[in-house]
Amino acid sequence: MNVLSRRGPRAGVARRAETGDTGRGRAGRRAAAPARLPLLALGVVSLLAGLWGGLLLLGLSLPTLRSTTAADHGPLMALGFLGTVISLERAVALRRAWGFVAPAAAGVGALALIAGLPGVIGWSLLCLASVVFLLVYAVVMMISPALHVGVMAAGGLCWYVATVLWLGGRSIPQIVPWLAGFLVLTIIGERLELARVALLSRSSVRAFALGGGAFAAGLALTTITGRVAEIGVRVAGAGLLALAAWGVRYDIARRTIRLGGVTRFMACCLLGGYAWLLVAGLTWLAAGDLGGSVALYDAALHAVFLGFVMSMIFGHAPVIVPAVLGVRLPFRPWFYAHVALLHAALVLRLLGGDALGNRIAWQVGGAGTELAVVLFLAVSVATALRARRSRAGAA
Amino acid sequence: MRDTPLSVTRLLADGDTEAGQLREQLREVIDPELGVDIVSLGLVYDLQVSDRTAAVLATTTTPACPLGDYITAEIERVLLASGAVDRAYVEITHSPAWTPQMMSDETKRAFGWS
Repeated sequence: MNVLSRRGPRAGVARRAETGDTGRGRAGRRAAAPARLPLLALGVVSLLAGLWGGLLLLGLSLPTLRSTTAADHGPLMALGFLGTVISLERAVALRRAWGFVAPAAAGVGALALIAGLPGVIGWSLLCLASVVFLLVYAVVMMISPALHVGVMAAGGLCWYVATVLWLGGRSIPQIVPWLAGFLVLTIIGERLELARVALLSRSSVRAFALGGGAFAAGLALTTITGRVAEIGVRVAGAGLLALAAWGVRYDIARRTIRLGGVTRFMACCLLGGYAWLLVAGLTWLAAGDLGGSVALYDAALHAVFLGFVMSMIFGHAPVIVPAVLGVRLPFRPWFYAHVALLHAALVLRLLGGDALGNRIAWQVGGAGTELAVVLFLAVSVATALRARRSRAGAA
Repeated sequence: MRDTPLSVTRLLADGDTEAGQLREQLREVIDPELGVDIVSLGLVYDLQVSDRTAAVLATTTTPACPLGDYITAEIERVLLASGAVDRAYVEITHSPAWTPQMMSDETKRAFGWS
């Protein structure tokens, strides 16, 4: 669709004037980008509250903010933080004001959970956010219909289903597969999109569809309680395995890891993430009932949410932060530190803690993964501020 | 003004030689994820120059990609830093939608196309 024809000739001229002038054009974008900062801040607040809840779940002796702080750990991380950030990213891409309703609703919904308001308020807002998020994908699909957009939209649908199930009375452990579906399908859809540059063969697309289809079918079965739900988890696990294998085989990170700088950094994060997705797939496939034990539940979830998802977030931050906020986040070699800490701590948590039953290893590993996230935030903010000062000094 | 995807650049008169040089300079703008410049990726649909003013029509690999502002800012930065133009107009479009076939032959080979 032609941008000018969509907005009309006069709007087109106005837009050119806005972006064309040497000073005003940049100022225009600078004005837009900080307006997104409060939305991102909502996500970060949710992240910090979610991390606190995570520490409580690890059994550390810390004050409880609210009676629901620990229980809300998962929704705050998956929807409050990542839902806000991902929907903000899509709204920025689409460039329609209404698209920002999604991150706003997700962020405020998370705040409602943190504040301890009746759960229906927060979850209804999270549900509203998912609806707007899906509308964004609908518009993207109209502009440029493609399989990868459909996969990402399926991720958005998982977000919607998770909120509807919760509002319908399901517990967090029952909706967790859908939260994983939201993030896995969103990320894997993005990877499919980029993999096009390597000219995907029909067999590779078939392999992707098979894995994605199995994962989606498994998720659907988890909504049926009892034995069928266990089969659903196993089928979804097989789908995760297939998607991880697809990523290892076809993701362009295999090629871009040979390059340097931020490109290699991103590739490292991606490939490390696929390794954890394999672990998650195996765990889901073998377990069936994710609630069989605390250790199993911990491993099955955090292999996905920390190993796969957070590793991807770390990798994409140097690109997404400048794109969304208009601030520079130049890659620095020490970015590898928080990535290495995340993966090492997760190994300790899942292997020493969950698999071998060592509580200290579980707690130290768990706290280590949270430290990695906090370190990531601190390093990102410090690097962005330093880059800003450096640019101001040069000017 | 013609209501086509290239309408922005058609506002300006031809300036092919200079435009070609500036287009080469846009190879400084790298897609960080792919490690390839935006010209080789085929993300620059058109660039024209007239009266020390550059007009660029560019795209992203998908409308779901949030890098539009980043690419716009980088194109402006490179063009203005060149000293060849005083103003830079950048427009992001998805008409036509980008496809991998738009990449340069060299880039295709680098990604394993035979």
